[in-house]
Amino acid sequence: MEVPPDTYWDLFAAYSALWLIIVIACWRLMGRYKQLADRLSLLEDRVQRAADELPDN
Amino acid sequence: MQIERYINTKYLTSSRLGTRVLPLAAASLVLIAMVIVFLIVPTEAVMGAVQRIFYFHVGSAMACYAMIALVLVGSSFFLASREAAWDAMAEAAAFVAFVFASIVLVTGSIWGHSAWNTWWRWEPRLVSFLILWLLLFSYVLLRQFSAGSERAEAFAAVLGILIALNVPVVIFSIKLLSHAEQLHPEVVAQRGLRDYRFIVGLVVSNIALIAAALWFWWLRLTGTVIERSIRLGALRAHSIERFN
Repeated sequence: MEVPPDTYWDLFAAYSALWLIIVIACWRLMGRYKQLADRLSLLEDRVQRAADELPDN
Repeated sequence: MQIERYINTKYLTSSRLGTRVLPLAAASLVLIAMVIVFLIVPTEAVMGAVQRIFYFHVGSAMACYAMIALVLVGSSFFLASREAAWDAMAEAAAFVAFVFASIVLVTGSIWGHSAWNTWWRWEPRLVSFLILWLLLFSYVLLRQFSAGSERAEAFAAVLGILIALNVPVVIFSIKLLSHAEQLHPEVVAQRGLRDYRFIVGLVVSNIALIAAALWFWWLRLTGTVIERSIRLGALRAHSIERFN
């Protein structure tokens, strides 16, 4: 039996919008992680310098 | 293998693979899959429009299995080497696998309600998948309530291997009963996809959702590694402060 081709523009638009929101949220999260990683690296340097200043024993 | 070379905050937040290739591939592949599923694939003759959920249902299951493969790799190598990076890799993958397993259960129920007139049926494929979901849920709970515990890391690794062992059970559970005794279809094996567009839709949505899962895994792994670095840094700073 031949199935007539149907299109679902409304569903496509709704799910594409939802996917776009997810992509933007993940992209922003990625940027936030980058900032956190940079700040963490600075903090680790400070902790390392503090550890180096401790007396040997 | 020097896994720490790759699983650290610097590499995870700056490598082109995780910050450019994976996000762009996942974002565009999912969009292409949606074009195929909603605008190109014809409506199935018996089930009608609701059959289109099949592409996301099966794709999510494939993405869930791909993540469980990473859980198996991470857990096995962690037990062998005790390197924290393998554990972080397994933890992040289990979390993403849990999300996709939940999507499989929800989309399966919606499809089942429309096709079989019931949200749930106690048959082998559904029950074995529910057990897989419960195992993943217990893994996520274990990690949430035992952050920083070395013993819990070993327990989680064993649980991760058990989760992976359950995947073949889910896949072959469909063979336990005859087709007459269960409702869950074996679409590909029974040659249910006669129009080539159904197959294209299925293959593309599987690849797209696996790419999306890999991107989410990368993100979750980055978060996990940052969280662990903060915890370790705080401990170190605290001990230096006490010494002073």
